[in-house]
Amino acid sequence: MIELFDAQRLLPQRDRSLLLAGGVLGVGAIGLAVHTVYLKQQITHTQAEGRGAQSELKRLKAVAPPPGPALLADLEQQALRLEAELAAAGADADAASPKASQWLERLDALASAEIGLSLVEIDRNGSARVEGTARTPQAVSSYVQAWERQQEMAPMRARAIEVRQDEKSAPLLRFQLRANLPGPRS
Amino acid sequence: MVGARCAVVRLEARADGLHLLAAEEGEASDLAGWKPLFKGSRGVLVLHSEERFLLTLDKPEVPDAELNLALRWPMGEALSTEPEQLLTVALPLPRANEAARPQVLGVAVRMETAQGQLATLRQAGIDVRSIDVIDSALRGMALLQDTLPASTVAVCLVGNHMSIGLIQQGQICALRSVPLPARVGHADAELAEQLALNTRRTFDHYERQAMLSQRSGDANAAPVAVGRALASVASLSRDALDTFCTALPDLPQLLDVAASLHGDPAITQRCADSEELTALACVAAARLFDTGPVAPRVDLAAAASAAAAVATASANPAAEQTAAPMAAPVAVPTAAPIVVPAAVPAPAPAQATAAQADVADAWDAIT
Repeated sequence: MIELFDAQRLLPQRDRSLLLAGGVLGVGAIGLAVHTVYLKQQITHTQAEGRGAQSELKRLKAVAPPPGPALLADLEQQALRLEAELAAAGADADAASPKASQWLERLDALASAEIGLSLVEIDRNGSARVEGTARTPQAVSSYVQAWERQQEMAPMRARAIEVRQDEKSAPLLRFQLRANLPGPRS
Repeated sequence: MVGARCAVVRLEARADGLHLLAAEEGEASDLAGWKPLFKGSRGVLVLHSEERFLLTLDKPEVPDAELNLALRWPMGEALSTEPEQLLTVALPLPRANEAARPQVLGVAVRMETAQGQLATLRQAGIDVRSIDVIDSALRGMALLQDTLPASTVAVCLVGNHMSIGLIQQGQICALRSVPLPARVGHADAELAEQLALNTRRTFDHYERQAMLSQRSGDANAAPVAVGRALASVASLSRDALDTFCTALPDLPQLLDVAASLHGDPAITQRCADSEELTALACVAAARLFDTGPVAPRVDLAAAASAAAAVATASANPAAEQTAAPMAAPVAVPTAAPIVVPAAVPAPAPAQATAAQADVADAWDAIT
């Protein structure tokens, strides 16, 4: 029999990509639906467990005995110990940091005709930031040296000094000084 | 293809034989109206002689499964066509000649031809999944006979082409296609002479092969014995038919469609009057025989034994007689409508003459 028909070459080739994409989409949708159902079951199960735990807690609360005198006494001792430790720590901090009067005294000693202060900021950790204007760079240098000479009053080392001259403040110089308490806090 | 001539037949295998249910001729615009004929059937597109190419060549040394594919290259080279642009099929030929290597008959059709005709059919809502060539009618003609020698030369005239083949045990053993001069009416004496001449030459060639195969004693060579010719030449006039018949050694057996096929007398007569419809019906018959719903009227197994007897002991009437009983037909209702979407217009006389010259040259080469 003579058969010249070649299906592979003569039949129109169908583009199956759309069908494939549809299949993938369908499988994805089915998977998502299955996952959603699974999650809902999990949520329901967890909620049921939560309700069970709450009811169990209520039941235990109902049947649990009140705290005894020994437990209360222990808690009171713990509270007193913590308060004492906090008080001791606060006293140490106060002793290390200069008091307000000391700061005023220091600033008064540093006063100079060449220097004008615009900001003095001191935080609880003992860090200080001082900003102001100076007539000359030498005046800033003298001010920093004077700050350093006050170690015996309240040790506080300058760690950053910035001097600049901008158009707004010309011919005055703007300076900024940062200082920390020495030791572990610096 | 609008405006081209088309033809369709519907053949159905029943318990009592093959029934011709429809036979129509028309134009491409009629195809849509023929769509109901294809319902519940296996449609086959049949290509004209002008649309297919035949080439006998040495069998390529490839596995049988790759034979059809392997033929594309030699046939593409012969036709000056890219191999990818051809549809090819190989018919193994029995070793019935002096060729050293086994040969195959290559049948090729251009892809664009097949695609164009399938598209025309598809536009008419007809989906066919088989393509055959008009030359298969020769096999159908042979298989439709009640009695037939083991080997016969079948001649089928369609339009201005003559297919002439040696049918042995129901299979094509050799095949030629000859373009004929354009016919002027039905009383063209020149056509009849050409028809007779080519048939006579083919007879001689096949008989020479028979003698060569017997002399060579080649065990692999199939025995060839040429019996009486079987012809389907419905359109020949009485005079032309006489000219044709007298040119042959024996009177040819003429195909009688009305006797071979059951059906409405008007339909079978219309089929018998048309060479094209007759050829289509024969192609459909061959397909139905091949696919098994009905057995051929000739018992091929008995015919094979008869062929062996003829080869060894000349013509043995007793052996030939065994070929006569009909095999019981199988009652499987299967229909095979066949459609020819486009009849190629007849070539101009000058072209036909040139084509004839080519065939004559080729003929000289093989003889």
